Amino acid sequence: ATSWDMPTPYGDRTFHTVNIRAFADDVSERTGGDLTINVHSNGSLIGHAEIKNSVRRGIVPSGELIMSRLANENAIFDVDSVPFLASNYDEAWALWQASKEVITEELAKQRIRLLFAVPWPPQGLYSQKELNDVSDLRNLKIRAYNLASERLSQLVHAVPTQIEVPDIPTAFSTGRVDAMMTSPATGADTKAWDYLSHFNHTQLWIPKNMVIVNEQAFSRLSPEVQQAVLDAAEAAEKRGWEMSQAETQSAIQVLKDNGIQVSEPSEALSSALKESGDIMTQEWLERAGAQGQAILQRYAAQ
Amino acid sequence: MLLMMIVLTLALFIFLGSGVWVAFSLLALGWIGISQFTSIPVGDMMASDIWSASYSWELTALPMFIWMGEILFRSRLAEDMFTGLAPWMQRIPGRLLHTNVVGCGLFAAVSGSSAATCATMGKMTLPELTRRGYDERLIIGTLAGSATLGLLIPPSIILIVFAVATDQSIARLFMAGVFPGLMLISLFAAYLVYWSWRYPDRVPAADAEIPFKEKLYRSRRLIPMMALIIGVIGSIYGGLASPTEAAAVGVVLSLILAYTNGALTWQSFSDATLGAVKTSCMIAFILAGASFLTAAMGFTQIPSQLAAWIATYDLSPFMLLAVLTLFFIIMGCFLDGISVVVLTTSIMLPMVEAAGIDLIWFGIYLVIVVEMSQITPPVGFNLFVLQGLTGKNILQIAYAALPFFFLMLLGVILITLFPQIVTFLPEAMSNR
Amino acid sequence: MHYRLRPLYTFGAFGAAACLVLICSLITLQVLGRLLDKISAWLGFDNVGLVIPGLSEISGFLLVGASFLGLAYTFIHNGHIRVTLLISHLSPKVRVFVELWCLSLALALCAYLSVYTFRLVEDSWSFNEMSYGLLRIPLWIPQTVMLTGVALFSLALFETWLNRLIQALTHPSAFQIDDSGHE
Ligand code: NA
Ligand code: NA
Repeated sequence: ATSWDMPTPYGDRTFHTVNIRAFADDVSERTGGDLTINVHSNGSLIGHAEIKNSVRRGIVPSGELIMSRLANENAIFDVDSVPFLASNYDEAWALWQASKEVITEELAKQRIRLLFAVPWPPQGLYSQKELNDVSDLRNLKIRAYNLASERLSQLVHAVPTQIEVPDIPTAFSTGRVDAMMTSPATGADTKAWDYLSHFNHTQLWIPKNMVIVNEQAFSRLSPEVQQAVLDAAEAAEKRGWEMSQAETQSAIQVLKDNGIQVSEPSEALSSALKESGDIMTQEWLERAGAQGQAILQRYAAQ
Repeated sequence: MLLMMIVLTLALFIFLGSGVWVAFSLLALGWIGISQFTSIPVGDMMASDIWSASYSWELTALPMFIWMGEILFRSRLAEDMFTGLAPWMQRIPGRLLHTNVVGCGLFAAVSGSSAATCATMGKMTLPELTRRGYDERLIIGTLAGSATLGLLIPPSIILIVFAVATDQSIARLFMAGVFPGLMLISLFAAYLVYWSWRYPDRVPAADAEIPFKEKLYRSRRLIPMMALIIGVIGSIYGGLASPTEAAAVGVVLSLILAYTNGALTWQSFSDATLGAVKTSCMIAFILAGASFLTAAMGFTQIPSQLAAWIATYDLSPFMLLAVLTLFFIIMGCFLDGISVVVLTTSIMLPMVEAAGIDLIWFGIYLVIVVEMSQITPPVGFNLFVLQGLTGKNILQIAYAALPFFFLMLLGVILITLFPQIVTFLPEAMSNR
Repeated sequence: MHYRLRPLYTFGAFGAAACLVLICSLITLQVLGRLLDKISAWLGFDNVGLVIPGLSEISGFLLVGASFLGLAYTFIHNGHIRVTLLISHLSPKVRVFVELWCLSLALALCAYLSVYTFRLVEDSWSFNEMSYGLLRIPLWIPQTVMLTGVALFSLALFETWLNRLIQALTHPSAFQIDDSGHE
């Protein structure tokens, strides 16, 4: 029997971790205990930044990470963080189908096999005041945590501000930041109502987490076990996408129940943001080159 | 697993006992754990883990605070502070020793770590208090104990780690830490009063009583110190700096103060900076070793299996807390606090929730128990810092800190009997 | 003890000190930027928006320099912590061999770490690994700084080890050491 360690960055209550634990149980059931996966949540074994490299180097056979973290390596990894390229689950699924092959190939160059990817709920805008128009964003200090959020803030004349995750509550309550882009799930998990009042369900983009394995470790498994892992992965992906959609609904409800003003984007705000989104799609294409072109063509064809 | 635990414990005692440097002992232990009991490529894991443990943003506050302490130590600031305070403390039993407790409490409101609090305060108060003839053991003990407040009084790195791991509100946990922090300060102060009353001959003689006007006049020397504390805390709550960045603000402010004092020369600046390099390298390397050992514990799953074993007993809430306290104290002897929290929460949480224990309360409980681990040998970061400062042996320092260990245990019992101490503020906050 | 390479270790410490100074300066600049924003908002102007991109990431990498480049310097100034309670009572003749054991273990571990840190750098180099944050920093750069620090430390340990070995083999009873933790 083989035993795999699988480091994941997020806490036990995040639906991604719940899904991955279910995947691990599924694998050991399908293989009759021939392969067991020990999930180490919370970055307790390996920090988020080191997970991909640790899998590539065979320090651990498998792991989970957010895909757009690899954007500095190759722009195709943050195709899911281009504003409004895909802003609902159907579009996100279509984009994932269109980009899967290129991303899988790119990872294969590093001897990494991509098992499955599960989206976070769509990113929205949290703030301490109502946002009706793009002029409301002017001079607002918006938390920038990746290229997309930084660039989008610049395009709407806001001030991109870097705040590390643990510092978010203090930063809001002391006025170092006025708004942030994240999912309803993260807002509900971190009890955003303690420090802010409004959530705009803008559906900017839908980033994904991916579960990867070291190709060599995978090839050492017997063909039956390999197939069982792939089947379990397929099931986990399906389950994960459903969980994510359910999570969006329940998290928004939690936000409402705790007194956060939840609103849909106004026509004015939407169209202004979409303009910025178009600019960013072009910029992304320049960075992603031929691979990016291929993804977008395939996406448009769907 | 029993074999693994025995081997590792024995190895640790052999390495440390034979005088191997603490950081190397931890590295060696991690190496044995991974290479002998798992199939992980140990060398690559070691380099990768030490790399990832060494570049965290939150950690940058540590060398900054240490540097600040070194600068203040070389200016007249610390001496001035005591001269200004002394006339007011004449009648309180324990007199200037209380500055250790209160000073650490104040500094804890700036720094999120116990080692930084210990290094900064110790650099300032140790030489002054020793010179004034206070009992050395008590000085060291007070410092070791009070510096742990850095973890409980917000901001706190470990409360953030707990909040992130368990999806609790960081703001609420910070609120919840306030009263228990004040409770511990009071317990420590009360102990000093008791001790001075019990051993009056071991407290230096009081200075001659001086008139009130003179007292006030001497207090002007407190102004720079107050300005520093207000400046650093103010930069956080005024929205100018994050708690991590506040450490750098502290360095700049102390440089300005030292300059206005005339104590800032090129020599003193370079001495202070190299002094900070020495202390922070020492701590950083031990942290790296501790991180690797933590990874080894994660791969071998000793802590999580022990926690799972406790879960099988289905204990009543009070029994569960008693057993967990014992478990954390033992784990805390060998691992640093954050590692214990990270390695065990997955298993611990369902069991704690099933027992009907409030998670905010549990977070504070956990931090106090982890505070205790900072002063238990063989692996206790405050002990290492104080050994660096005084040159005394860590067992001597641990012995000096023992009363404070028991005071914190008393604190744990108090918050168990009166959970309102913890829950009052966060509940008031949610009823807002 | 006399170290042939002492200037090298001190040079490392200066590197570490420079990293500390840089971290502090960058953060101070950022804090001043926020102060400027507060003032300009108060006067009713647009935000100045002085932000140092990737500050947290740069500071983290500088911290690597501050932590590793000074390791050897810290060692030759007795700055690393150890427990000498048991071994401080040994006779010089025995103690020198205990020192040799401690140094051998430390040297072995430190050299081992150097080798694997080199492999880490090599790997980051050949896969062109990049930092994850807002800035695109090749990881081999800060990792090389870590390697330099660990290698310097190994050198300092080796010098000490050689010195102790010669003493143990020639006149062990003349061995003297200061356990106080201060030079
Ligand atoms: Na604190
Ligand atoms: Na301890």
